[in-house]
Amino acid sequence: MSKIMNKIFLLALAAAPALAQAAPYVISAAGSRIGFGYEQMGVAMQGSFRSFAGSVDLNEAQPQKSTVDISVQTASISLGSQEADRTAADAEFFDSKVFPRARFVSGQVQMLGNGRYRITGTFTLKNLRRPLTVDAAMQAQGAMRLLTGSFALKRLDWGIGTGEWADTSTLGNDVRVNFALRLVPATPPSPHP
Amino acid sequence: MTARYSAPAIFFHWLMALGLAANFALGITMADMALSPEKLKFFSWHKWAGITLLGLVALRLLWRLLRRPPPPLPMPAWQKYAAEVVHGLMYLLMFAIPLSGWIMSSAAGIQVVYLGMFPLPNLVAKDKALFDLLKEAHISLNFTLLALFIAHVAGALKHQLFDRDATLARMIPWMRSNP
Repeated sequence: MSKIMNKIFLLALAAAPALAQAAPYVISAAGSRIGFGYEQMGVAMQGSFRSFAGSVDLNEAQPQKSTVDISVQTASISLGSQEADRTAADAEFFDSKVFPRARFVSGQVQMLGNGRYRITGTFTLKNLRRPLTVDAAMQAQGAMRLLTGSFALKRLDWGIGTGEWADTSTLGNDVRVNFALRLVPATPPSPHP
Repeated sequence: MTARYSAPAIFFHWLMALGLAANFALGITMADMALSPEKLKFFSWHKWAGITLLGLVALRLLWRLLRRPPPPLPMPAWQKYAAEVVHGLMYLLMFAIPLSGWIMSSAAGIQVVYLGMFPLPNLVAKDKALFDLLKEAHISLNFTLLALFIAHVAGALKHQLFDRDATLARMIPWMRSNP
């Protein structure tokens, strides 16, 4: 048993440099937040997603070589009441059974200076795939990085809240997604046996 | 000629009676609705009406302090006392009910924006346990007011139908004397 473990460990060590180069940071769920603000009957509301994951390879020397890949479990939405959370997972909103994940993938990162980056990529939500540009700031915290930012979208452009919910006087069309992601160095993944 | 309530006092009384009944019915209705845009509207209207009633009862109490109500008609002391207690508790609840609703909304993390235009301050921070407690309190206070309302109406009808005095007529604009 211990021999096998040793072998795996050595293999992991050997594989580590190449893999680490590809995705040096992963999102640590602890201390990370993906939330959003919207208006309901003229009242500013806040929500968030409990479950998300992803990797961020921010190549600080050559930002154009950076990659970002973040997935959010749409059914993990938190709106302050269980009934609202269930409704948000329904077909009129995220349709989480059919489209369990929203995903943002980017291979195009531009350095803006002062630790700020412009990340251009593709956002997939429900059955829609569209380009999306997000401005974010990165802060070093020891070995960790904190990536923060926000972007605006119109929920109706993405088919969020259709049918009776399309009325924007009740549920506003403007949504601001905000994120604070704690990035930790990716541990070398164990090779498959 | 029996002393009547002043015109503003009569106006406040009936406007609030109507408003409280309507908002009570709206509250009962919306509580059982499934989540829908209509439910969100009803909740907002309920809050706006509640804040309006809170403003009205404050004005009403101020008016009552400036212009004292007419003294009660001759009746046994216990009846005067009972009427006083019921009136006092009703005033207390007319403040406590909208305030408990406002704090409840704050505890839910939903700011009250009066008429969708004027944001009112959150009275407490978001707190699920406090929200659950206030929800029960808001409901209990409402049913207490309903019980007091029934006693209030029963008292008025007793004076009108059995005592045949002018107690009720003093609060009704077109009722000049007892039939």
